Amino acid sequence: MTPRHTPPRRGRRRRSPGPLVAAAALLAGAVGAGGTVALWSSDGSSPMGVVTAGDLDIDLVGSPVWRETSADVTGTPRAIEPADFLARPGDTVTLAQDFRTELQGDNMLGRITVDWEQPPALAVGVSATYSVRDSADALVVEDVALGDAGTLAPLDTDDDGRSDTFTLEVTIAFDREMDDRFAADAAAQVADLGTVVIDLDQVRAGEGFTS
Amino acid sequence: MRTTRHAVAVTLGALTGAALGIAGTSLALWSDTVTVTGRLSTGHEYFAVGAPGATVPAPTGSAPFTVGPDHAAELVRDGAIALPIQVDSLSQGNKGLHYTVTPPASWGENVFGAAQVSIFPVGSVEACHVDADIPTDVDLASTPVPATYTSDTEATTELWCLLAAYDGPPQVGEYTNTATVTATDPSGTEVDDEDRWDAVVVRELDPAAEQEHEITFTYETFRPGEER
Repeated sequence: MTPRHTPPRRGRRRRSPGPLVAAAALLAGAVGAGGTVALWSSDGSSPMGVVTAGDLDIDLVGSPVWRETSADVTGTPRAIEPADFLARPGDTVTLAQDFRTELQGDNMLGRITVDWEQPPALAVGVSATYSVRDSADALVVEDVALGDAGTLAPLDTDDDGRSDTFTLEVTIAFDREMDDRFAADAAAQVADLGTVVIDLDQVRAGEGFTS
Repeated sequence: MRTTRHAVAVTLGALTGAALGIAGTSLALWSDTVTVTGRLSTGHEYFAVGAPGATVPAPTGSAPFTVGPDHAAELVRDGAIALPIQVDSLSQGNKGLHYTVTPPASWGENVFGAAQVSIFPVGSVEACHVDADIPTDVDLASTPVPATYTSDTEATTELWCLLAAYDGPPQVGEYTNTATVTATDPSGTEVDDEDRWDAVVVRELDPAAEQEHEITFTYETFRPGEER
Protein backbone atom coordinates (compact mmCIF):
# COMPACT_ATOMS: atom_id res chain seq x y z
CA MET A 1 0.00 0.00 0.00
CA THR A 2 1.24 3.42 -0.82
CA PRO A 3 0.73 6.12 1.77
CA ARG A 4 -0.19 9.47 0.38
CA HIS A 5 1.77 12.53 1.25
CA THR A 6 -0.60 14.81 3.08
CA PRO A 7 0.88 18.26 3.63
CA PRO A 8 -1.01 20.67 5.84
CA ARG A 9 -4.09 21.91 4.11
CA ARG A 10 -4.49 25.53 3.38
CA GLY A 11 -7.00 27.34 1.33
CA ARG A 12 -7.30 25.69 -1.99
CA ARG A 13 -6.97 27.84 -4.98
CA ARG A 14 -7.54 25.73 -7.97
CA ARG A 15 -9.11 22.49 -7.01
CA SER A 16 -12.83 22.25 -7.59
CA PRO A 17 -15.09 20.32 -5.27
CA GLY A 18 -16.73 17.15 -6.25
CA PRO A 19 -16.06 13.48 -6.18
CA LEU A 20 -13.19 12.41 -8.28
CA VAL A 21 -14.66 9.19 -9.29
CA ALA A 22 -12.42 8.40 -12.11
CA ALA A 23 -9.31 9.37 -10.22
CA ALA A 24 -10.36 7.33 -7.26
CA ALA A 25 -10.80 4.33 -9.41
CA LEU A 26 -7.40 4.85 -10.90
CA LEU A 27 -5.87 5.28 -7.48
CA ALA A 28 -7.57 2.27 -6.18
CA GLY A 29 -6.11 0.16 -8.88
CA ALA A 30 -2.64 1.49 -8.32
CA VAL A 31 -2.80 1.19 -4.58
CA GLY A 32 -3.99 -2.26 -4.90
CA ALA A 33 -0.85 -3.14 -6.72
CA GLY A 34 1.47 -1.28 -4.37
CA GLY A 35 2.54 1.14 -7.08
CA THR A 36 3.30 4.81 -6.99
CA VAL A 37 0.94 7.09 -8.77
CA ALA A 38 1.10 10.52 -10.23
CA LEU A 39 -2.20 11.73 -11.27
CA TRP A 40 -1.47 14.97 -13.00
CA SER A 41 -3.25 16.01 -16.05
CA SER A 42 -4.56 19.06 -17.71
CA ASP A 43 -7.86 20.40 -16.54
CA GLY A 44 -10.63 18.14 -17.48
CA SER A 45 -14.30 17.67 -16.74
CA SER A 46 -16.74 14.89 -16.51
CA PRO A 47 -20.41 14.74 -15.75
CA MET A 48 -19.44 13.95 -12.22
CA GLY A 49 -17.34 17.09 -11.63
CA VAL A 50 -14.13 18.90 -12.52
CA VAL A 51 -10.61 17.76 -11.83
CA THR A 52 -8.08 20.52 -11.67
CA ALA A 53 -4.46 19.65 -11.99
CA GLY A 54 -1.67 21.27 -10.06
CA ASP A 55 1.19 23.04 -11.68
CA LEU A 56 4.81 22.36 -12.42
CA ASP A 57 6.64 24.78 -14.59
CA ILE A 58 10.11 26.11 -15.21
CA ASP A 59 10.97 29.02 -17.46
CA LEU A 60 13.98 31.10 -18.22
CA VAL A 61 13.68 34.65 -17.02
CA GLY A 62 15.16 37.19 -19.35
CA SER A 63 18.22 36.68 -21.46
CA PRO A 64 21.55 35.33 -20.31
CA VAL A 65 23.82 38.02 -18.96
CA TRP A 66 27.48 37.70 -19.82
CA ARG A 67 30.06 39.66 -17.90
CA GLU A 68 33.77 39.95 -18.09
CA THR A 69 35.13 39.64 -14.58
CA SER A 70 38.88 39.62 -15.14
CA ALA A 71 40.33 40.97 -11.91
CA ASP A 72 43.18 42.80 -13.60
CA VAL A 73 41.01 44.68 -16.06
CA THR A 74 39.79 48.11 -15.12
CA GLY A 75 36.05 48.53 -15.25
CA THR A 76 35.12 44.94 -14.62
CA PRO A 77 32.70 43.41 -14.15
CA ARG A 78 31.28 44.69 -17.38
CA ALA A 79 28.63 43.33 -19.68
CA ILE A 80 29.87 41.68 -22.83
CA GLU A 81 28.38 40.16 -25.92
CA PRO A 82 29.74 36.61 -26.05
CA ALA A 83 29.64 36.40 -29.82
CA ASP A 84 31.92 39.42 -30.06
CA PHE A 85 34.10 39.05 -27.00
CA LEU A 86 37.66 38.00 -27.74
CA ALA A 87 38.96 36.14 -24.73
CA ARG A 88 42.67 35.92 -23.97
CA PRO A 89 44.69 33.94 -21.47
CA GLY A 90 44.03 35.32 -18.01
CA ASP A 91 40.45 36.37 -18.68
CA THR A 92 37.50 35.30 -16.60
CA VAL A 93 33.90 35.54 -17.75
CA THR A 94 30.61 34.72 -16.11
CA LEU A 95 27.24 33.84 -17.50
CA ALA A 96 24.16 34.41 -15.38
CA GLN A 97 20.78 33.05 -16.37
CA ASP A 98 17.73 33.44 -14.17
CA PHE A 99 15.03 30.82 -14.19
CA ARG A 100 11.75 30.56 -12.36
CA THR A 101 9.95 27.51 -11.10
CA GLU A 102 6.24 27.24 -10.39
CA LEU A 103 4.90 24.42 -8.28
CA GLN A 104 1.40 23.81 -7.01
CA GLY A 105 -0.54 20.88 -5.74
CA ASP A 106 -0.99 18.46 -2.98
CA ASN A 107 1.80 15.97 -2.89
CA MET A 108 3.78 18.10 -5.24
CA LEU A 109 7.50 17.89 -4.64
CA GLY A 110 9.79 19.38 -7.23
CA ARG A 111 13.43 18.65 -7.79
CA ILE A 112 15.72 20.81 -9.88
CA THR A 113 18.68 19.26 -11.56
CA VAL A 114 21.32 20.76 -13.79
CA ASP A 115 22.73 18.45 -16.37
CA TRP A 116 23.91 18.40 -19.94
CA GLU A 117 22.20 17.34 -23.11
CA GLN A 118 25.29 18.20 -25.11
CA PRO A 119 28.50 18.09 -23.08
CA PRO A 120 30.66 21.18 -22.79
CA ALA A 121 33.74 21.52 -24.95
CA LEU A 122 36.52 23.51 -23.38
CA ALA A 123 39.85 24.21 -25.05
CA VAL A 124 43.02 23.19 -23.24
CA GLY A 125 43.65 25.73 -20.52
CA VAL A 126 40.02 26.71 -20.15
CA SER A 127 38.12 25.70 -17.03
CA ALA A 128 34.54 26.33 -16.05
CA THR A 129 32.30 25.73 -13.08
CA TYR A 130 28.75 26.57 -12.29
CA SER A 131 26.75 27.49 -9.24
CA VAL A 132 23.10 28.11 -8.59
CA ARG A 133 21.83 30.85 -6.32
CA ASP A 134 18.37 31.28 -4.94
CA SER A 135 16.49 34.56 -4.85
CA ALA A 136 18.20 35.43 -1.55
CA ASP A 137 21.55 35.10 -3.33
CA ALA A 138 22.40 32.04 -1.30
CA LEU A 139 24.36 29.34 -3.03
CA VAL A 140 22.28 26.20 -3.42
CA VAL A 141 24.75 24.55 -5.76
CA GLU A 142 28.35 25.67 -5.55
CA ASP A 143 31.28 25.38 -7.91
CA VAL A 144 30.45 22.21 -9.77
CA ALA A 145 32.62 21.44 -12.76
CA LEU A 146 30.87 22.21 -15.99
CA GLY A 147 29.47 18.99 -17.37
CA ASP A 148 28.86 17.42 -13.97
CA ALA A 149 25.26 17.15 -12.84
CA GLY A 150 24.04 19.11 -9.86
CA THR A 151 20.88 18.71 -7.85
CA LEU A 152 19.10 21.24 -5.67
CA ALA A 153 17.20 20.39 -2.53
CA PRO A 154 13.58 19.45 -3.34
CA LEU A 155 10.94 22.13 -3.36
CA ASP A 156 7.83 21.28 -1.43
CA THR A 157 4.49 22.91 -1.98
CA ASP A 158 0.76 22.53 -1.59
CA ASP A 159 -2.35 23.79 -3.26
CA ASP A 160 -1.28 27.36 -2.68
CA GLY A 161 1.69 26.76 -4.83
CA ARG A 162 5.05 28.48 -4.82
CA SER A 163 7.21 30.36 -7.22
CA ASP A 164 10.98 30.48 -6.91
CA THR A 165 13.59 32.27 -8.90
CA PHE A 166 17.11 30.94 -9.21
CA THR A 167 20.20 32.04 -11.03
CA LEU A 168 22.51 29.72 -12.87
CA GLU A 169 26.00 31.18 -12.80
CA VAL A 170 28.72 29.79 -15.02
CA THR A 171 32.27 30.96 -14.46
CA ILE A 172 34.77 30.47 -17.26
CA ALA A 173 38.48 30.97 -16.73
CA PHE A 174 41.13 31.15 -19.42
CA ASP A 175 44.37 30.14 -17.74
CA ARG A 176 47.15 32.69 -17.92
CA GLU A 177 49.57 30.02 -19.06
CA MET A 178 47.44 28.57 -21.83
CA ASP A 179 48.78 28.87 -25.33
CA ASP A 180 48.19 32.10 -27.13
CA ARG A 181 46.56 31.97 -30.50
CA PHE A 182 48.79 33.31 -33.24
CA ALA A 183 47.20 34.86 -36.31
CA ALA A 184 43.60 35.03 -37.40
CA ASP A 185 43.76 31.81 -39.36
CA ALA A 186 44.70 29.79 -36.29
CA ALA A 187 41.83 27.81 -34.85
CA ALA A 188 40.06 29.67 -32.11
CA GLN A 189 40.21 28.22 -28.62
CA VAL A 190 36.60 27.74 -27.71
CA ALA A 191 34.72 27.57 -24.47
CA ASP A 192 31.46 25.92 -25.47
CA LEU A 193 29.11 25.39 -22.57
CA GLY A 194 27.30 22.66 -24.39
CA THR A 195 23.58 22.42 -23.80
CA VAL A 196 22.82 22.93 -20.16
CA VAL A 197 19.55 21.32 -19.22
CA ILE A 198 17.75 22.53 -16.14
CA ASP A 199 15.07 20.05 -15.25
CA LEU A 200 12.26 20.51 -12.84
CA ASP A 201 10.90 17.08 -12.04
CA GLN A 202 8.05 16.03 -9.89
CA VAL A 203 9.27 13.48 -7.39
CA ARG A 204 7.49 11.27 -5.00
CA ALA A 205 10.24 10.42 -2.61
CA GLY A 206 11.65 11.69 0.63
CA GLU A 207 9.73 13.02 3.57
CA GLY A 208 6.05 12.16 3.35
CA PHE A 209 6.62 9.51 0.74
CA THR A 210 7.63 5.94 1.17
CA SER A 211 8.48 5.09 -2.38
CA MET B 1 17.77 28.88 -25.99
CA ARG B 2 14.68 26.77 -26.03
CA THR B 3 12.15 25.47 -23.61
CA THR B 4 10.58 22.08 -23.79
CA ARG B 5 7.78 20.91 -21.68
CA HIS B 6 6.57 17.45 -21.10
CA ALA B 7 3.26 16.88 -19.47
CA VAL B 8 1.71 13.55 -19.52
CA ALA B 9 -1.99 13.55 -19.80
CA VAL B 10 -3.41 10.80 -17.80
CA THR B 11 -6.63 9.35 -18.77
CA LEU B 12 -8.88 9.05 -15.87
CA GLY B 13 -10.93 6.00 -15.65
CA ALA B 14 -11.57 2.92 -13.77
CA LEU B 15 -10.33 0.81 -16.57
CA THR B 16 -6.96 2.45 -16.50
CA GLY B 17 -6.81 2.22 -12.79
CA ALA B 18 -7.61 -1.40 -12.91
CA ALA B 19 -4.95 -1.95 -15.45
CA LEU B 20 -2.45 -0.24 -13.24
CA GLY B 21 -3.57 -2.26 -10.35
CA ILE B 22 -2.91 -5.40 -12.21
CA ALA B 23 0.43 -4.35 -13.53
CA GLY B 24 1.64 -2.39 -10.49
CA THR B 25 3.04 0.29 -12.73
CA SER B 26 3.84 3.91 -11.82
CA LEU B 27 2.54 6.63 -14.03
CA ALA B 28 4.91 9.19 -15.42
CA LEU B 29 5.52 12.20 -13.27
CA TRP B 30 5.63 15.72 -14.51
CA SER B 31 8.75 17.40 -15.59
CA ASP B 32 9.66 20.57 -17.32
CA THR B 33 12.93 21.61 -18.85
CA VAL B 34 14.77 24.67 -19.98
CA THR B 35 18.09 24.72 -21.71
CA VAL B 36 20.95 27.17 -21.74
CA THR B 37 23.75 27.36 -24.24
CA GLY B 38 26.71 29.64 -24.68
CA ARG B 39 30.06 29.89 -26.35
CA LEU B 40 33.14 32.04 -26.15
CA SER B 41 36.11 32.20 -28.47
CA THR B 42 39.59 33.53 -28.11
CA GLY B 43 41.17 36.46 -29.84
CA HIS B 44 44.61 36.26 -31.34
CA GLU B 45 47.92 38.00 -31.65
CA TYR B 46 50.15 38.60 -34.62
CA PHE B 47 53.70 39.77 -35.13
CA ALA B 48 55.60 40.04 -38.37
CA VAL B 49 58.87 41.62 -39.42
CA GLY B 50 60.49 42.29 -42.75
CA ALA B 51 61.00 44.73 -45.54
CA PRO B 52 58.11 47.15 -46.00
CA GLY B 53 55.19 45.29 -47.54
CA ALA B 54 56.96 41.96 -47.21
CA THR B 55 56.83 41.11 -43.54
CA VAL B 56 57.16 37.54 -42.36
CA PRO B 57 55.03 36.26 -39.45
CA ALA B 58 56.85 35.23 -36.31
CA PRO B 59 54.74 32.57 -34.58
CA THR B 60 57.69 31.54 -32.44
CA GLY B 61 57.80 34.97 -30.86
CA SER B 62 61.02 36.01 -32.54
CA ALA B 63 61.72 37.25 -36.04
CA PRO B 64 65.09 38.00 -37.61
CA PHE B 65 65.79 40.70 -40.13
CA THR B 66 68.88 39.61 -41.98
CA VAL B 67 71.58 41.57 -43.78
CA GLY B 68 74.30 39.79 -45.72
CA PRO B 69 76.58 39.81 -48.75
CA ASP B 70 74.26 41.74 -51.04
CA HIS B 71 73.89 44.52 -48.52
CA ALA B 72 77.64 44.51 -47.93
CA ALA B 73 78.30 44.90 -51.62
CA GLU B 74 75.88 47.79 -51.79
CA LEU B 75 77.53 49.33 -48.76
CA VAL B 76 80.98 49.12 -50.30
CA ARG B 77 79.72 50.47 -53.58
CA ASP B 78 77.72 53.38 -52.22
CA GLY B 79 79.43 54.07 -48.95
CA ALA B 80 76.13 53.95 -47.09
CA ILE B 81 72.89 52.04 -47.05
CA ALA B 82 69.59 52.65 -45.32
CA LEU B 83 67.25 49.69 -44.88
CA PRO B 84 63.72 50.28 -43.60
CA ILE B 85 62.28 47.46 -41.50
CA GLN B 86 58.55 47.04 -40.98
CA VAL B 87 57.12 45.54 -37.80
CA ASP B 88 53.44 44.57 -37.70
CA SER B 89 51.86 43.96 -34.30
CA LEU B 90 48.39 42.92 -33.21
CA SER B 91 47.05 41.63 -29.94
CA GLN B 92 43.33 41.39 -29.37
CA GLY B 93 41.38 41.27 -26.15
CA ASN B 94 42.98 42.19 -22.87
CA LYS B 95 46.59 41.65 -23.84
CA GLY B 96 49.11 44.16 -25.02
CA LEU B 97 52.18 43.49 -27.13
CA HIS B 98 55.72 44.60 -26.46
CA TYR B 99 58.82 43.86 -28.50
CA THR B 100 62.53 44.42 -28.35
CA VAL B 101 65.10 44.87 -31.10
CA THR B 102 68.41 43.11 -30.61
CA PRO B 103 71.27 43.83 -33.01
CA PRO B 104 73.87 41.12 -33.47
CA ALA B 105 76.40 40.90 -30.68
CA SER B 106 79.09 41.56 -33.28
CA TRP B 107 78.96 42.78 -36.82
CA GLY B 108 81.95 40.63 -37.61
CA GLU B 109 85.30 41.41 -39.19
CA ASN B 110 84.13 42.14 -42.67
CA VAL B 111 82.33 45.06 -44.30
CA PHE B 112 79.63 45.58 -41.69
CA GLY B 113 82.22 45.22 -38.98
CA ALA B 114 84.06 48.12 -40.57
CA ALA B 115 80.95 50.25 -40.95
CA GLN B 116 79.08 52.46 -38.53
CA VAL B 117 75.75 50.74 -38.08
CA SER B 118 72.75 52.27 -36.35
CA ILE B 119 69.19 51.08 -35.81
CA PHE B 120 66.49 53.55 -34.86
CA PRO B 121 62.75 54.05 -35.27
CA VAL B 122 61.39 56.16 -38.10
CA GLY B 123 57.96 57.46 -38.90
CA SER B 124 57.89 56.45 -42.53
CA VAL B 125 59.76 54.48 -45.10
CA GLU B 126 60.90 57.73 -46.69
CA ALA B 127 62.45 58.86 -43.42
CA CYS B 128 64.92 56.02 -43.64
CA HIS B 129 67.65 57.33 -45.96
CA VAL B 130 71.43 57.57 -45.89
CA ASP B 131 71.38 61.19 -44.75
CA ALA B 132 68.92 60.62 -41.94
CA ASP B 133 69.81 62.05 -38.58
CA ILE B 134 70.70 59.33 -36.16
CA PRO B 135 69.00 59.91 -32.84
CA THR B 136 70.88 59.50 -29.64
CA ASP B 137 69.71 57.26 -26.83
CA VAL B 138 67.63 55.02 -29.00
CA ASP B 139 65.34 52.71 -27.06
CA LEU B 140 65.45 49.43 -28.92
CA ALA B 141 61.98 48.44 -27.72
CA SER B 142 58.39 49.37 -28.35
CA THR B 143 54.89 48.70 -27.06
CA PRO B 144 52.68 49.23 -30.07
CA VAL B 145 49.64 47.57 -28.49
CA PRO B 146 48.50 48.44 -24.96
CA ALA B 147 46.67 45.92 -22.81
CA THR B 148 43.41 47.80 -23.17
CA TYR B 149 40.73 45.54 -24.62
CA THR B 150 40.51 45.72 -28.38
CA SER B 151 38.86 43.75 -31.12
CA ASP B 152 41.00 45.33 -33.80
CA THR B 153 41.82 43.13 -36.74
CA GLU B 154 44.37 45.42 -38.37
CA ALA B 155 47.96 45.25 -37.19
CA THR B 156 49.79 48.31 -35.94
CA THR B 157 52.73 49.04 -38.21
CA GLU B 158 55.99 50.51 -36.97
CA LEU B 159 59.14 51.21 -38.95
CA TRP B 160 62.77 51.01 -38.04
CA CYS B 161 65.82 52.06 -40.02
CA LEU B 162 69.10 50.26 -40.27
CA LEU B 163 71.65 52.82 -41.41
CA ALA B 164 75.22 51.80 -42.20
CA ALA B 165 78.02 54.11 -43.29
CA TYR B 166 81.25 52.75 -44.70
CA ASP B 167 84.44 54.75 -45.18
CA GLY B 168 86.49 51.98 -46.62
CA PRO B 169 88.33 49.10 -45.10
CA PRO B 170 89.84 49.62 -41.70
CA GLN B 171 93.50 50.47 -41.37
CA VAL B 172 95.48 47.75 -39.75
CA GLY B 173 98.99 49.22 -40.05
CA GLU B 174 101.39 51.70 -41.59
CA TYR B 175 104.55 51.29 -43.53
CA THR B 176 107.19 53.95 -43.95
CA ASN B 177 110.23 53.50 -46.10
CA THR B 178 113.07 55.99 -45.88
CA ALA B 179 115.88 55.93 -48.39
CA THR B 180 119.12 57.78 -47.68
CA VAL B 181 121.93 58.31 -50.12
CA THR B 182 125.37 59.66 -49.39
CA ALA B 183 127.96 60.48 -52.01
CA THR B 184 130.97 62.63 -52.79
CA ASP B 185 130.70 64.95 -55.65
CA PRO B 186 133.50 65.54 -58.13
CA SER B 187 134.81 68.38 -56.03
CA GLY B 188 135.20 66.06 -53.12
CA THR B 189 132.32 67.39 -51.16
CA GLU B 190 130.23 64.87 -49.43
CA VAL B 191 126.56 65.11 -50.24
CA ASP B 192 123.59 63.19 -49.04
CA ASP B 193 119.90 63.05 -49.60
CA GLU B 194 116.90 61.32 -48.16
CA ASP B 195 113.53 60.35 -49.42
CA ARG B 196 110.65 58.51 -47.90
CA TRP B 197 107.29 57.10 -48.72
CA ASP B 198 104.51 55.97 -46.57
CA ALA B 199 101.90 53.32 -46.99
CA VAL B 200 98.77 52.54 -45.05
CA VAL B 201 97.92 48.90 -44.60
CA VAL B 202 94.20 48.13 -44.71
CA ARG B 203 92.27 44.97 -44.15
CA GLU B 204 91.24 43.16 -47.24
CA LEU B 205 87.45 42.99 -47.15
CA ASP B 206 85.33 40.95 -49.46
CA PRO B 207 81.62 41.77 -49.52
CA ALA B 208 80.89 38.40 -51.04
CA ALA B 209 82.30 36.80 -47.93
CA GLU B 210 80.14 38.83 -45.60
CA GLN B 211 78.37 36.64 -43.10
CA GLU B 212 74.67 37.06 -42.50
CA HIS B 213 73.78 39.24 -39.56
CA GLU B 214 70.48 38.99 -37.78
CA ILE B 215 68.69 41.84 -36.10
CA THR B 216 66.24 40.00 -33.88
CA PHE B 217 62.78 41.29 -33.09
CA THR B 218 61.26 39.48 -30.11
CA TYR B 219 57.77 40.09 -28.85
CA GLU B 220 55.75 39.14 -25.82
CA THR B 221 52.21 39.84 -24.77
CA PHE B 222 51.18 41.09 -21.39
CA ARG B 223 48.11 41.55 -19.24
CA PRO B 224 46.84 44.87 -17.88
CA GLY B 225 49.10 46.11 -15.13
CA GLU B 226 52.12 44.38 -16.59
CA GLU B 227 53.08 47.09 -19.01
CA ARG B 228 56.75 47.25 -19.98
